[in-house]
Amino acid sequence: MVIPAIRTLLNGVQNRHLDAEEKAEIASLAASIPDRLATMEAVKAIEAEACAAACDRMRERYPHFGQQHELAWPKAFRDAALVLRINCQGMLLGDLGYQDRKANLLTRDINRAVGISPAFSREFWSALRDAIRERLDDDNYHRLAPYLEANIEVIAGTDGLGGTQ
Amino acid sequence: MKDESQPWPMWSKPRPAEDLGLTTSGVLAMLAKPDAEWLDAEEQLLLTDYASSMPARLAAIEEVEGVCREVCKAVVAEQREQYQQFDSHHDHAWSKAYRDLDLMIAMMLKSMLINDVRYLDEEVLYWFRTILRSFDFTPQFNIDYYTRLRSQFEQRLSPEAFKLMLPFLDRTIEVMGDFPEPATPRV
Repeated sequence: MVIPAIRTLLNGVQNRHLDAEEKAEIASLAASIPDRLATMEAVKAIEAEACAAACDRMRERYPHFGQQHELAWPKAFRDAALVLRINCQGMLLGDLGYQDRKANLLTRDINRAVGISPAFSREFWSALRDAIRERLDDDNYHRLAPYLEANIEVIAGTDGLGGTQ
Repeated sequence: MKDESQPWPMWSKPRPAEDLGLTTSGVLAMLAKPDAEWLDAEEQLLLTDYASSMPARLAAIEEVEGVCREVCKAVVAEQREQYQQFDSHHDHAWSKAYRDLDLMIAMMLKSMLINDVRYLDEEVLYWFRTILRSFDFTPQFNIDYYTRLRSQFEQRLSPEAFKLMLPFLDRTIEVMGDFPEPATPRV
């Protein structure tokens, strides 16, 4: 089993043995795996409920969204679940860049292409974060929180064109 | 029948690392599923098993590093006894042999840590074998050298640490001794 963060660390160690600090970092990474898996399982248990709650909140705020896009809310639910799973994968790997590569940037670009505004995205991913926070205990939530925040920052990034809604 | 597509003798391919049961494609491959499906119980078990083996692996590293200097000295001394002309063929022959052995051990330790023999192949064994071949080392010289290393570790390490190291020591012997005899051996 190769944990990418450990492999990356090893790649930086050239022509020498590992030093004490590097060994401690590896030990810590490995020791955190059970907790990370536990968080993943906790999220899995609330995935459907949290994604549905986020969609419900957005449906109240944007009642016309369903008319502007085909299967708007089922697709929103599906995307929330997919991004959430990728968040969990990134958390398991301890790699914030993973979710950008696998989900955030792609989702942002697709949303722009179909005319979804950054403001809408920000609210949607914030709603998902809040729904997760309400349903997870503190330890699990804090482990996942940086990834949920990154969803908001990247998918709702305002460095490009905004959509209509 | 001679294979016309191979005008020069090729060395045999070592057993694929996957056949040794000592490599996995890693957690990234495990996560690469349609719809980012959740890890199942078996996959989680693989991951936790590996994570829980880490203290033993790190302890083995400490043990190996504790005896590394003595081991390298002993291996070089034994090899020197057998190959008395070696340093007349190469500059600083034995000091380089000592240095390379220490670096090889460091790479074995890294590979053992991630339990991936492919890492050892790719990071050191294949290219290092090519270099030694270009200096007209013989396969037997390498086999003797790394077999001595294995034997020294067997004598000086705890059974637990040696067991973790053994596949990587064996792999080193296998790959480093797997090339054609040079036309003019210089060992």
